[in-house]
Amino acid sequence: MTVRTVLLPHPVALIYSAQILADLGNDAAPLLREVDQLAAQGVLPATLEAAGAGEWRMALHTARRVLWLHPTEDNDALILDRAAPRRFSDEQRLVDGALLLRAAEGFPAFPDLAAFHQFGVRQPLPGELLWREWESLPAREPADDLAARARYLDVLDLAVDAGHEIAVARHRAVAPQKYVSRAHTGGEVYSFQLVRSGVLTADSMVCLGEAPELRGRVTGGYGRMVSIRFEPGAGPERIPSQGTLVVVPSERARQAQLDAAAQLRRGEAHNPGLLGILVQANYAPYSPRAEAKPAQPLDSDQLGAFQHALAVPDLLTVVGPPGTGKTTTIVEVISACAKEGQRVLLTSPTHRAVDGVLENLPPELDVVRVGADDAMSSKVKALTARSRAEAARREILADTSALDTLAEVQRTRPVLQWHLGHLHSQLQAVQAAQEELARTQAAIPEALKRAEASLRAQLVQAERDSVRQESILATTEAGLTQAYRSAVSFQEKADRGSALAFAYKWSADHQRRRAEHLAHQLPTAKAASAQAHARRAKLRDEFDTLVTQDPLVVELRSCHDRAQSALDTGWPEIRRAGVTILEMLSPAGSAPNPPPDTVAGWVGFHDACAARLSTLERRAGLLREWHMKISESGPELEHEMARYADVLGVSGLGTDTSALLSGFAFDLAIVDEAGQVSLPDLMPPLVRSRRALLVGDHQQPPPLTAEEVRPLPSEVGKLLERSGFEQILPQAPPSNAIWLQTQRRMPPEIAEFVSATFYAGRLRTEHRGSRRDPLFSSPFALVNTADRPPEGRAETEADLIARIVAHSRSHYRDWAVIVASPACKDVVAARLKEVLGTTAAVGDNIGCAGDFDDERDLIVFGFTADGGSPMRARQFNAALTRVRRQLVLISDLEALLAVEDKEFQAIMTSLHDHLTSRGDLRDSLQVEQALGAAAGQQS
Amino acid sequence: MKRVIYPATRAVEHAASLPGVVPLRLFPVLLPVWQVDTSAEVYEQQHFEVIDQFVLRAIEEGAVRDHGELAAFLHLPAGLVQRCLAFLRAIGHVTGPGPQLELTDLGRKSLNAGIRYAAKTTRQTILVERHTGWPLPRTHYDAGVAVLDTPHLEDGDQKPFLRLFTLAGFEPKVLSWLENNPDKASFNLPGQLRHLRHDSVREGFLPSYLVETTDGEVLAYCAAGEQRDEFLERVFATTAVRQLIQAQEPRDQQEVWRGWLAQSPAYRSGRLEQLPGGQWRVVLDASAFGDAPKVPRARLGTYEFHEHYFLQVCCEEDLAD
Repeated sequence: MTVRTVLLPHPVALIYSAQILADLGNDAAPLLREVDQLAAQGVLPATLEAAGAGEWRMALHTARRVLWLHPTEDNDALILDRAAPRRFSDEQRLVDGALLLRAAEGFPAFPDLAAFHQFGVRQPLPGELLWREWESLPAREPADDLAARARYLDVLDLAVDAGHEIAVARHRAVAPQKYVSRAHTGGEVYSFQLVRSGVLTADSMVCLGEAPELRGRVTGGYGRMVSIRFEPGAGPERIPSQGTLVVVPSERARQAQLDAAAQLRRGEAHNPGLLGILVQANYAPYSPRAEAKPAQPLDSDQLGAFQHALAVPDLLTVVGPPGTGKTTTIVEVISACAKEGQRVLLTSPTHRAVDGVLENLPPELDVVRVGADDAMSSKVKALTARSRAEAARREILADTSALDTLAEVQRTRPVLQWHLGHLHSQLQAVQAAQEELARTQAAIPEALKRAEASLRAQLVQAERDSVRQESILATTEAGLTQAYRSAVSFQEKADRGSALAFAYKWSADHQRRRAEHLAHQLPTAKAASAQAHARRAKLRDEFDTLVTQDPLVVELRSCHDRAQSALDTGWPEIRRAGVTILEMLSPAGSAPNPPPDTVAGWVGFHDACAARLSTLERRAGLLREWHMKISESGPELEHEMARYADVLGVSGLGTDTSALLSGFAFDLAIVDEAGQVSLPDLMPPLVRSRRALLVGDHQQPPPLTAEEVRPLPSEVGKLLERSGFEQILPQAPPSNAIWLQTQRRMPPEIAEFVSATFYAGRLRTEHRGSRRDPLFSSPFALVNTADRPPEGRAETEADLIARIVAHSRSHYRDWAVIVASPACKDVVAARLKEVLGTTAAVGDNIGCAGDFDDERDLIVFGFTADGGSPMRARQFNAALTRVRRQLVLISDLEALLAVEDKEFQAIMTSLHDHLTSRGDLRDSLQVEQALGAAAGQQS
Repeated sequence: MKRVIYPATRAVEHAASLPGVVPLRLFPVLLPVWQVDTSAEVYEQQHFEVIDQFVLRAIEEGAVRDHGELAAFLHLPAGLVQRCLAFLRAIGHVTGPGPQLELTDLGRKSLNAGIRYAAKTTRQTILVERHTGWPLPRTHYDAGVAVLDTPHLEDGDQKPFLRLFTLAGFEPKVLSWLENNPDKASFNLPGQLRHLRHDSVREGFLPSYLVETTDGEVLAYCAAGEQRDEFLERVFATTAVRQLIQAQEPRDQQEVWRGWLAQSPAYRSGRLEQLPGGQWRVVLDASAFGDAPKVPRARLGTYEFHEHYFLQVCCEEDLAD
């Protein structure tokens, strides 16, 4: 909706026409009032139209009518041409763009031009303003982004279903697998001996052919043995000792993908930029953490990936061709992130990739592994949610010290409660004594006052008399002393015979007389004072005697003494009780500290101890329940072990285990072998994590084959024909697409070919070198079987493969045979067993190109097309890059150079050229002779 | 891609099946709505597992207030207990991140109820009809109801759905009304929802069919159901849509259909008929049906649309039966 408000600078006059009056039944006033009202509010919709030759017209829209107007010739008013009912076409014009006119004074209307000219104000129409605003109306907001995202999500939903259908078709193609025996290995786990080996892969969901409702997950196996964990309810009596196992598609994986897509649609992906990345490659800018240092040395590419992975806010893709140290890099990224408190998910379609990382993580990290567990190393097995839960359960149940302590507290509770009660009663006694003390201390003076009231007046008078007599005595004694001194002084002056000697003589005599007088009075004063003092003392004794014997005073003093005595004995008792209580409580944990001797302090102590006792009582009950619950808990405890781990390793991405991720949240999701993961399979980990790191190799076989994707609608097919990694990688900016370019696995003779053919020459090699092979002159050898007749070629090649392995395997730590198809695999496996003996571990050392994901020192790769699915370039790459020291290709080179697939043919041509210069290209008869000679020497 | 609404013929069929109703014209219309992207807090009800519940109980019943003491009490690794506490904090059950462990009210409520209520921010797009500001009822959130981000949609006749102009802005008070409404479920909202707020508002367009009857009634249909859509009819009753329809001048149907037949080679041999109720149909010989360029058999009994009018496709032999 594109609209713009335009304020008309002055009133615009409207002129009636005959047509408009006809349209409105000669009463245009109501409609014009509505126009004025809308204009006053600034919501009068108007549209403009050019009418040719510089002419224009305007439409004003009321609720139900459209008024068409055009300017007068003088361009000073608008003539009302007609009033039409508002139609859908008007709605369309308005939604394409409209001006909202605001005219405070409305539109003055005139019956005709003459009236306008006579009475109206003639001003130029604001046509220029209107057209300027009209032409600057913004184009409709492009909703392309939204539409593109909505469409992408729609296609993603369809891709989930299509991917599921392909999985269903794959499962249908797997014939029911007969088993000849079964054994109950504990819990819901049973092991079955199959008639054929290698068909049921780990994490596949299967059901019993005889009882399809009994479903389980393949947890592992070797040879013809498979272990299956059944869903609850499958008792031994329901599983026959012989029967069939049928592969069933995982509905839960599909649901997990749909849930993830729905979460993305709702905008609730933990990675808020995820949808923008997937649809429009909108990555948030960032700088790598250049200061971050890994725990172990990394090469420059690995260090770059490490520093980018620590900082990337949304998603980082790391291209890791074979042997470039993906695992090492991932280990360092996980360690660093987990140590920063981030919760990390590591996931991959393969168990090997996940376990390779988990085995190398520092032991201080809390790691939990989820997925098929039979094929794991013992170190990784200990990390499974089941093992972790079991270990936790064992430890919790083994440690009974806390429970014992609490039980002891419970056992001694009556004694403790007695002591608490004793403390309480002592506190009450002390509190009562303190109150009594305070009461008597206040009451005794009052009682004394009342008791002494009768003698008080006499005592007061006697005290006054005594004071007065003492005062008289003191005055007399002072006067006597003074008179003697003055008499002596005056006599001395008179004796010196001065003119005033007579006066001094007179004064000296006067003072002597005064002294004599005072001396005469002094005994009287002393006697009077002594008498007054004696009377006062006598009265005081009488008074004291009276007060002491007052019954109230006597009682109060007795109470006071008793209270003081109670306090003197109460506090030590309280302290003793406190110590006893603490001694009993302390073994069960911290207890309150003894307070200073105040009632409030000890009451607080008592209450805290009583509360503590209740708490310990509750804890004892709680701990017993905890032990009981933990001893019987199953999947939920495993789920929690996974929920609270620093690092969660989940293999079997795209299988049932994907469903386990729901409800979890991560700070970082790392998807290893991401080049083998379809986009729907990528969704559960991506939406559950704030950031993501996709590590993979876009030159490895994609998750779905071209044949599987071909029938799908093109948009859906585009999402499924390549891995999610391969779709995201080309769109990512350089800061979000990091390459690991130094490989250390393959000898240079092989790596150079791989680099040039599959990685645009970006791959560097740092290989520690290999011992010379006993048979071939280069680590990269091809035995050309074109010198053999076409009939029986498969058997010939199988024989060659088996003899080469038999001859060379002792020179290498390990070996493997890779073949083009399952049919070839059976032929070669049979021949290997004949040549090597039945005890040789053939099953673990043979695989098909594209499926074999282990690495070996010696690899013998027979890849002549057998009429089945033609070899693809990426399967070829996947097979070549498994080798560490010696690669022997067995094939009819002439046939390969003539294959129909032009891409593969070009690769074969460059292979031929490369082998000619850097490899060892030999005819099969030559090799057979060499093998025969070597065998002869040995014998 | 999936259809955003069922074919118009089904709306006409339904209208024609109503007693006393004679459908006259059909108008495919895009109803303007606001797509309001909202967020709110809800309490998701989950089952307690094992450790989480006992961690809460240890804090509440056992008065364990310290991380280390908690790990020791349950005899669990300290790191695991820390993760569990982080999880319980994230869902609003434990206060933090201070050293003293305490339960929140939500944690206590969960513990008492034995249900793990997880505080969760939920995002949801709410649909609000633009003219009236009314929130759309729950039926219109069904997976089969498509609300378009852009007003580009053609009907079966390859003509664009009609547009409606409105100046009504989005009024956030509708969210307060919804939050306080005890019957939130009727508007596709969870019952225990708090702090409903809008994050963004964008235009949306709900494809619908308006069927005008000979009585001047307007019946509304959309993908929410194959019956009449009462909500849409209430909306349209408050707007000028009826006038828009009435403003589309009626045409002489015979003339319309003769012209159409002349331009439609597959139907050209058909016979035009008007039923006593006023509806039109084209009656074709059985030989006129078949693979292209004939009339597809699937068209038998359905309606053809032209200039808002429709006529039913019939087979002579069927009528004879």
